[in-house]
Amino acid sequence: MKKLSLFLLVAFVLTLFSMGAAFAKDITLTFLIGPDSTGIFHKEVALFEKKNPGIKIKLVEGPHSTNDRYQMFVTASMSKKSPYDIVWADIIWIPPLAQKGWLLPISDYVDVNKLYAENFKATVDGSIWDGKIYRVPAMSDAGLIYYRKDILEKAGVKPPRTFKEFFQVAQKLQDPKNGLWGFVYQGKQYEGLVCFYLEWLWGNGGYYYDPVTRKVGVDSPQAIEATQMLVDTIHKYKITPPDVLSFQEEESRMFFESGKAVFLRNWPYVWVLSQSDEMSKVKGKVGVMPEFYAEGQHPYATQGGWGVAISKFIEKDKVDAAIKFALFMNSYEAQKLAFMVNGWDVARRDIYYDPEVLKKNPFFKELRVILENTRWRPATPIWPKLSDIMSRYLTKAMTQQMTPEEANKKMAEEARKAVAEFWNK
Amino acid sequence: MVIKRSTYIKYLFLFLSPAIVLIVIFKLYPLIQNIIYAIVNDDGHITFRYLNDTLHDPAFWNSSWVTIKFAVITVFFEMVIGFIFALLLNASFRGRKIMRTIFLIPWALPTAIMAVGWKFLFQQSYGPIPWLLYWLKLTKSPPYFLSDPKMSFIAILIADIWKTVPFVALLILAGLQAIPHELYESMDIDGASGWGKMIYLTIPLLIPTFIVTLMFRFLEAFGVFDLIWVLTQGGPGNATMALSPYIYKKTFMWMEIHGGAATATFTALYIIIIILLIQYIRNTLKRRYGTT
Repeated sequence: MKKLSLFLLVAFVLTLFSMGAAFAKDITLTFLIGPDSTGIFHKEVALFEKKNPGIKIKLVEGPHSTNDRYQMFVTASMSKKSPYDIVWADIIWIPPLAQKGWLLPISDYVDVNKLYAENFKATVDGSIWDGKIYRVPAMSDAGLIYYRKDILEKAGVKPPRTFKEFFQVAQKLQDPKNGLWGFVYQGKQYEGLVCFYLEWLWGNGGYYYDPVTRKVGVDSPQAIEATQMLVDTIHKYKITPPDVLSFQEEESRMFFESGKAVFLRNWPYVWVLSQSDEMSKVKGKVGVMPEFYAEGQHPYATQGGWGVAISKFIEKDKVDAAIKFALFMNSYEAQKLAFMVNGWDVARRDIYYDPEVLKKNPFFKELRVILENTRWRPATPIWPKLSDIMSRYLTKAMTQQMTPEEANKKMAEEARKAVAEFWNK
Repeated sequence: MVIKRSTYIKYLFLFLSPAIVLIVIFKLYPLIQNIIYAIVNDDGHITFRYLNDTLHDPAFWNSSWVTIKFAVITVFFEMVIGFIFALLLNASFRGRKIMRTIFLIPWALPTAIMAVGWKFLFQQSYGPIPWLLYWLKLTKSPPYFLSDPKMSFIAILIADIWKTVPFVALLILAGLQAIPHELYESMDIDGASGWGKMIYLTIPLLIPTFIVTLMFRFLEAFGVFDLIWVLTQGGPGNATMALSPYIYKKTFMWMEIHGGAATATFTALYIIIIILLIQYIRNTLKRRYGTT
C-alpha cells in the first residue's frame, strides 16, 4: 500500500512538471531549406536564437534540387498542413503559391516601403503578388557573363558587348581541338536554360509573356532571331560543345573552372568559387561583365533570388515569431554574415557599400550595377508551365528537330493556349 | 474435425483483414479520391471539363503512345531474352547456383540508383557507351544518347530491359522447374528431337507462366516512372514522357491537380483494358490447350 501511494505521488509530481514544461515551452518553427553545406543557415539560426530566447528554429534540409523542394512544399500545402512553417522561397515560387493561397500575406506585419528603400527593387517586386507581399527578400541573383581575362588580354581584344562582337571574339579565341571552347551556359532542358535564353531574348528586343496585357510575344522576328543565335552557338559558330545540352549551373561552372571555356553564363555564386576552389584553374584570371545584347538594345539579366516566406497553414500563435525571423534574415547583421560565410549576393544594397565587403570581394562593385538592372521572369501562377513549354521547344531547336522559327511558333501557340486556359477557368 | 461454415467465414475475414485494411487505405481510398479530383472542381461542382480537356490534350496522347511503345517493346525483348536465359540457367553446369545469384543483381538494385549508373554510361562527354560505339567505328562520332529524342528513347529501353530480364528469367525458370522430368523422359523414348521437345512440351507447359509474367511486366511497364525521371525527366522535348512522369509533372509542377487526376483516371482505364485483354487471351488458350 505504501509503495503504491509513493508511486502515485511520484507520478503526480512528474505530471505536474511535464505540464509546467509544456506551458513554458519555446515556440519552435520549422524552416525548409536546401542542403546547408557551408553551414550558413545554422550560423544564422544560432545568431537569431541567441538574440531571441524563446524561439527555436528547426532546420529541415531538403534535397539540392529546387524543383524537388518546391514539390515538397506543394504536397504539404495540398493537405493543408504546415510541416514547414517557414520556407526558403525562390522568386518564381511566389505567384503560383500565393495564387493558390498557400503563403501567408505579410503586408500587415512588414513595412514594404522600408523593404524597397533597403533592398534591390527587383527582389521586393518579386515578393509581391496581386498587391500583397508574401516574402522577405534575403538574396538577390542575376545572370552574368564570366570571361577569361588572361586569354582576352593576351589576344589584345576588349571584352565584347554586342552579340556580333561576341560571336567573333569567341570564335577567334577558342581552340576546341585542344579542349578550349568559346562559350558554355546552362543548356539542359530546365528552368536554367529559360533564364539564360530570356536574357538574349530581351537583349534582342523580344519578350515572352506580358502578365499585364496577357500577350505572348515569343513568335516575333526578334525572338526567332534569339533562338537562332542560341542554336548557332552549337551548330553554326560551333563555339559551344553539344554536350551543353546536359549542362546545369554546376556542370558549366566546372567546365569553365577547369579552363575549358573562354566565356561562361552563370549566376554570381561562381565568382567566389572560381577564385577559392582548390580545383579551380582560373584563379585570378576571371573577369565579369553584363550579358551581351543586340546593337541599339540594352543588356538584361534574369533576376533570381531567395527569401523567407511563411506557410498559410502555420499555427496562429507562431506567426509573430516567424515574421521576426523573416525580418532578421534581412537585417544588416544577418546579410553581412551570409556574405562573409557564403559570399552571397544579398538583397540589401548597403552591404555592397560596406568597405569590408568590397575588400573581400571587389567584384561586388560591378555586381551592384548589374543587380540594379535586372528583369524578372513573367510573374504569373502559370510560370512553371510557360517555362516548361519554353525549355521544351528550345531543346527541340537546339537538337535541330525544329527550325528556330517552327520552335518559336509552337512555343507561342502552346503558351497562348495555357494562358487562355488559365484565365477562362 | 468439421468446422462450421459460419466459423469458417469468420476466420476467413479475420485472416484476410490485415490485407483488406491495407488495400482499402492505400489502394481504394486514393483511387476514389483521385476520381473525385478528376470530376469535382474547386467549387465542389461536378464537371467533366477535366476529363474532356485531357482527351483534347496532345501531350496526353503523346504520353500514351510513348507508354504503349515502351511497354510493348520492353516486354517483348524481356520475354525473349528472359526465356533464353532461363533455359541457360536451367541447364546443369558447374557454378550454376552462383550464376543464378549474380544474374539477379540488376533486378535487386533500386531503379533510381541503377538509372544514375546508366546516366553515367550514356553521357556523351565521358560515358563509356558512346565512346565504345565510336571506337568500334559503329558511329561517326560518339552519339548523344540523352539529348537526342530517338536515342534517349532507346536508352530507356536498354536500361529497362537490362534491369528486368533477370526478373522475367526467374519467373520462367520457376515454370521450367515445375515441368515433371518424366515427360521429357517419355519424349526421349518416343525419339523426339531437342527442338521437338521445346515446341511440343516446354513451351505449351510454360504458357501459364508466360501469361502471369506478361501481366506482371505489362502493368509494371505501364507505370514506369523512376527510371525515366532519373534518366531523362521525360525529355528531350517530350520524347520519353510516359504517362506517370507526365501526371507527376502536371500535378506537382504545374499544379493542375484536377488535370493530373483526370489523366491518372484514363491511365487506370488503360490498365483495366490490359487486364481484360490478358484475361481474354488466357481464356482462349485455356479452351485450346486445356491448361492454366
